[in-house]
This record gives sequence, C-alpha cells and structure tokens, in this order.
Amino acid sequence: MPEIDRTLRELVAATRYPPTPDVAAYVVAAIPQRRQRRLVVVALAAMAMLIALAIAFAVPPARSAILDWLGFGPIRIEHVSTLPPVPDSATLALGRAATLAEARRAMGFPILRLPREADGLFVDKPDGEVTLV
Amino acid sequence: MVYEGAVEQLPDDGVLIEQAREGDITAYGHLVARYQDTAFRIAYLITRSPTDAEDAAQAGFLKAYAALHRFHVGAPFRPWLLRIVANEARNRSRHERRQARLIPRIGGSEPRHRTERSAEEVVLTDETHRLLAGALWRLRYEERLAIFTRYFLDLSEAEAAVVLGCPAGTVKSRLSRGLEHLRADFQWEPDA
Repeated sequence: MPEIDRTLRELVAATRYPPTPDVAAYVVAAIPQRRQRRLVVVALAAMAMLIALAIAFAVPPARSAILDWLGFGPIRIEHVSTLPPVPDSATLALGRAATLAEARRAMGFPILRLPREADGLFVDKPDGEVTLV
Repeated sequence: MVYEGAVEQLPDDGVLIEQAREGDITAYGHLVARYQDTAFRIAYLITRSPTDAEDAAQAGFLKAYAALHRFHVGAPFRPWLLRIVANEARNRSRHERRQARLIPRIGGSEPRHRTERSAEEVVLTDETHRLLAGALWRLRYEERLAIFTRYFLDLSEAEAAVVLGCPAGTVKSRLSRGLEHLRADFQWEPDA
C-alpha cells in the first residue's frame, strides 16, 4: 500500500497542531493542592470517626457491644474452694494401653526403661509408635 | 513557563522519576515539560479539541504522578505516560462517533512542497487530505490509535505497543488492518 502510506505521510506533514499549553506549570501547581486536599479529607474522616466513637462510648450498651466485638468484653474473677470439673475434650488417639513388657513384645525395637515409672504407656502398632505419659 | 529551555540539560528520565518519587515536584515538572508536547498531541489527535486535549494531558500527568510508584524503573517512561494520557483523552472525547472534523485541524493546511506543485495539484492534495482525514476518523479506535502512534507521533513499534496495551505483533496487525480499511474507505485509485 505505498500510495496510502505516502498520502498518509503527507497528511502527517501537513498537520498543524494548536500550540501546546503549559501543562507543566499547571501540574506542578496542582500536585501540592491535591496533596493538601487529600490530607484535609483524611483529617476530616479521622475526626468524624473519633466523634462517632466518642458518641458510641457515651452510651453504655453501645460501649459494651463495641468492647465485646473488639474482644475486650468484661472479665470476672471469682475465688472458689474447688475447681469445677473439666470435661474430657477429645481422645488423643495414642493407641491401646499396654505394659512395658507388652510393648516390648509388640514392637520390634527396644524400648528403654524410664528413670521413673510412667503414668501410662500406649502402643500404636500400625504407626509403630510407643507413647509414655 | 518555568520549565522551558532547560529541559535538554536535565538528568535522564530515570533520575527525574526517582527524584519525583521522593516527593520532588520540580523534578516531575521537568518530566512533564519534556513530554507535554507529545502528550498534548496524542490527546488532540484523539479528542480533536484543544480544550479537551489540554484537560486530558493535565489529568494524565496528574494520574501518572499518583501512579509513579507503580512505574517499573528502567522501562521507557514516554509510552507509559502516553498510554495514560490517551486513555484520559478517549474518556473525554465527546465526538467519538461524529463525522470527521479533523479538517482543517488535521490536514488541510499547506502541503510540504507547495512551491514545487501547481495550484491544481495543491487543491487536489488538500482535497485528498480532507478525504483521508475523514476516512481515518471512521476507523476503529484501536486501528486509528495504531496509525496515530506510528505515523503522527513517530513512535517505535515497541513504544506503540505500550501505548496501545498490546504486543508489538498486534500493533503491526492493527496498523496493517487500519491501512487496509483506510485504503478501502478512501477508495484509493493508484496513479496510472
């Protein structure tokens, strides 16, 4: 398409643009104004939030709701003679209870004797684990 | 114009961008001064209105300043900036679908070698430019922008790709399609 290319280049050469305005002066003047505007907006927003918070804290139910939501709900300390029973939460899945001799027979590896008697010994054969508690 | 004249002696884009990122507004002013001509021209080509072009260039430079921290240091600044300005210009273009009024704004003025041509040739050339400008305006925006960047602004293929936001190969195909459509619309009759 040499013809269209040539004519297009002629059009480009014949094109006259309006004089470029002083964009730089405008931009340099506008940046600090924008910054200032942004700071004012942020300051106003912060002030509005503080006022809203102050109003909310002045009303007791709203205050407790906010503190609860923030995880600062009221904490009560009580002195009791006996601790309340703690329910079993979950099984630890340590395997079946066994004696040290049973565990040594069941597992193919030596189990060292503890310096003191363990409260319980559990064997988990599939996983090859012995747990002393 | 505070920034005019000293532009050539200034540090390169990378240094000015670093300074601008650190809050040096004067450094950014120098960058704007360096590219305001091209930015205004691309905006003018898209909007065909000096006022809209000025608005688009100003808004584009301000947006570019706000996004300067996202600019990849080492990449060419000009096409990145022109892309922002072109988008602003497109948003502002209120005459997108209107028939070409590029003339006499684009084309229609004195051809380059007027003195070497007869008066008849000059008239024909001006008419040719008018028709071509009209056909140019009827192209799809992407094709038109490819022609603006490559022909009118003389950007490299790589730069045009950044402005258009597509791979260089796509610029080539858009340009080729644009020229083909232009030729068909213009109903070019080769000199026999």
